[in-house]
Amino acid sequence: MSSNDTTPKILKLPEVLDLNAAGRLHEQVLAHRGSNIDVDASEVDRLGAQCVQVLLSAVQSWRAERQDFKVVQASEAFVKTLQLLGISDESLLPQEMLK
Amino acid sequence: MDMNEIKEIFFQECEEQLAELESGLLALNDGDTDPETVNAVFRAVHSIKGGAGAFGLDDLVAFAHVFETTLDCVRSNKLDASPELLKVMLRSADVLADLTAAARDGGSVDKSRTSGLVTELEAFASGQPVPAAAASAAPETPAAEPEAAAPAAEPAPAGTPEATDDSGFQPVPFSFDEFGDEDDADTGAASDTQETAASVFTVRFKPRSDLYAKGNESVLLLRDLSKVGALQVRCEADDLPSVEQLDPEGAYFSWLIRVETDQDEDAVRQVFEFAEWDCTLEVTAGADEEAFAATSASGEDQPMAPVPFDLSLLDDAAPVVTAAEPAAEAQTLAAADSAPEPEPAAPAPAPALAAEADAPLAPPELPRAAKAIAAEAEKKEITVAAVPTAPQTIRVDLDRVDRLINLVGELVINQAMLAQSVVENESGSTSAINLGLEELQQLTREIQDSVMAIRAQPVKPVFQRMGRIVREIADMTGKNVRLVTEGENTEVDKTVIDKLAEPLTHMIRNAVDHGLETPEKRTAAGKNAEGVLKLSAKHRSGRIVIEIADDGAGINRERVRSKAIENGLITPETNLSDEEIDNLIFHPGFSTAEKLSDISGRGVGMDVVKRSIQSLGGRISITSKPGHGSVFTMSLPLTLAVLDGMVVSVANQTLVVPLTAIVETLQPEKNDIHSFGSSQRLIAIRDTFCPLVDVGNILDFRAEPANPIDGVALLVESEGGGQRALMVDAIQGQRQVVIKSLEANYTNVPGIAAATILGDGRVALILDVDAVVTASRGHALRPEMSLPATG
Repeated sequence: MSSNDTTPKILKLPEVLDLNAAGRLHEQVLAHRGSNIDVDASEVDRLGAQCVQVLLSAVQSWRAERQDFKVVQASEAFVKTLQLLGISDESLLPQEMLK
Repeated sequence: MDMNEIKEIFFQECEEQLAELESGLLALNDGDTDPETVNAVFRAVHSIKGGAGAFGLDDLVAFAHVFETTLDCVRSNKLDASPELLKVMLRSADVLADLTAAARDGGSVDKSRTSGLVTELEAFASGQPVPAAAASAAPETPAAEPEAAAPAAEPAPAGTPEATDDSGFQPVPFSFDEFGDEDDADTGAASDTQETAASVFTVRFKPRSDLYAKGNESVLLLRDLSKVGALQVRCEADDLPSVEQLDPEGAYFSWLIRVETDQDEDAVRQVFEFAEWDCTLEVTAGADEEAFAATSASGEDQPMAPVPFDLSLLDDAAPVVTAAEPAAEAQTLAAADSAPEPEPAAPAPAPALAAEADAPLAPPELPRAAKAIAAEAEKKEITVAAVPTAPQTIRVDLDRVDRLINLVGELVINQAMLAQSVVENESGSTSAINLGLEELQQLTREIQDSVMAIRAQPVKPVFQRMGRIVREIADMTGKNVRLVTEGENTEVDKTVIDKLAEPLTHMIRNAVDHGLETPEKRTAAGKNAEGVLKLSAKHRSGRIVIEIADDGAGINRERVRSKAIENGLITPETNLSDEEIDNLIFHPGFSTAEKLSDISGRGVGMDVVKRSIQSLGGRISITSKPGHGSVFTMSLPLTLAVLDGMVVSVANQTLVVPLTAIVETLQPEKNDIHSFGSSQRLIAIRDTFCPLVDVGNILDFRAEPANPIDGVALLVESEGGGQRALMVDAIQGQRQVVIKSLEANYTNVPGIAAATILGDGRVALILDVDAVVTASRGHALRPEMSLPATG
């Protein structure tokens, strides 16, 4: 994994991101540290607050390194959950996804 | 583990919770103001409700819910824990226990009592306590009330579903007709509803990681909250560390939420009810616009502007109320408020009805119960964890313990047999064998003690049950009674505990019904109008002693005596000590109650009590001081499985005399024996005379009394009857014996408490010392003592 790769890598999120998935997600995210990441959340059906914590922390950590960690595709469930939780970070919840 | 087992565990937990509940309420009643006590009480009801929900015990859930609601008002200091309220709550605890029992064993609960209490509890919660009489006179269940109210209000169909909203908290149905009438009690509640209509709450919710660890999910909580009203959610993520430092299972987010709802604060709080021990929750009335503004201002770096949440976005959450709907209702209500006249109000409910109809909302209680079940199914753990940490315990089937105890009993017998055969073959025995035997004996003893300790339980649960009996009898008799308990943690064998409840209940009833005077009489006698009943337990020389003391009038000895003469129990010439007169009340068929009440029964009282205590190997006695009250003292063996006994021979039979009964043993001298009357003999012991009782004669082992000089006298103390010297032929030794019930294996034999197996394999009878002593007192006092030939 080269750290200066500018072409973003795709991180595809699984369908279920509930309480039990947070640890695994965290590992995955850490494994992509250093690369620009495009998150594909189009399959996400269930999303728990702890996974949102991991994702938002990733966004902020990537941002601090001036890199991108952003959601490029999202399911309706993903969008709704973030809205419900009051998360409006542009990287996690791009404006264009809000109809 | 199947469902029934889980249910059984739930009921066991219920018992614990009920005990917790009652002791908490009693503490509050005694002036305890510790918020933790209120919390403990609340938790107890809450846990029962939660579990009951999981098993679909709707009656229990419904009642617990109302109870909990009122408790919550106390907890949040909205309601003062007044004596009146606590009285209602204590009775509610009783009903909750009844409902639990009914759910467990089937059977029914007095519906009118339940609904009366529900009305009272709700009235307290709404800040308008109704007089107890009025409440108990209302036979309708609260659910039925809106219907009853409906005909009064012409446009009422709309008002009806409104009145029992989702939270179930609106205690009194309101009708639009009554809005103008300020004096009406209902109006108060109605205007309450008005105030809560379209009110705004600010919720601060910060979960702890435990919340997630226990399977709760903030997303679901917020989703539930969104069903209460329209939300504006602001997530505060300041604590969120960098991804490297992040604990994926941690809790970093907290939320500031503005809820606009037509429901009240409790409805908002209720969303978090299964999670509240694992989060910081603050619900305040009114919008905290500043907080929203402040965080928005400071948060230029964190783009977390409050997000108004549109409920229509939720598709996967089953029936969902649209965000617009509560608002519509709110407007409707506002309209009704501004138009107090019935006519203008009339059209208003129509849109409300429409809104109700549009919403795919099930009948009010249903979604809640369903939610409770769903939530509880996966969150059972939480209710368990909410209980303060206690030493670790496991639940074991009683049968298993009993089997173990039986086996240990056999072991004891076997060990005794082994010891015996070693003694018999003395020639071959070496000191090593003897040493080994001694060690074995010690080990056996230790094993036995430890096994017995498993069955030992504090008497607390039984004592707590008595609290309820006292309340009920006090209510029935119109007396003021305070029950004081002492030594509740005294431990005794579970069998004893189980069998203790009945005689105790009887004695408590008696004490309240007959012992304590009416408040008027008490005041007249210069006593406190409130009678005190003291129930205490303590260990004394290997037995448990339970005392029931009242500060009532004491026993009227004149009346007892004349009654006994009247019944032919004694002759007018009989000279009895005060103590002996007092003990007459234990005689079968004796009752001094001039008026038979349905409380203390029909004169089958105290003798039944005495018999059941005796069947436990216990003794009972009474001491009484006229004007100052009576004390009933029961002394019971700690266990029914073993006892230390003295093995004696009587007329070629081997008997065991419980060691606890024996004060001393002595070898009578010829000069000490004195004749008295026709057949009585006395023995002089250090300047006192004590009646000599020939055990062999009493038990019909032999027709003629044996010569005392040839035997040994066991000085025994009986409860109430003073000392007696029991004559036996010889003492064989002293050992621990395993009690085998005669009743279970043969039949009850008067004068014999039980049997045991000796080291040589023979059966020996265990003497019922008290019965023998009673029998020795004279034939008039012991019609039940005509013994068949034993042995």
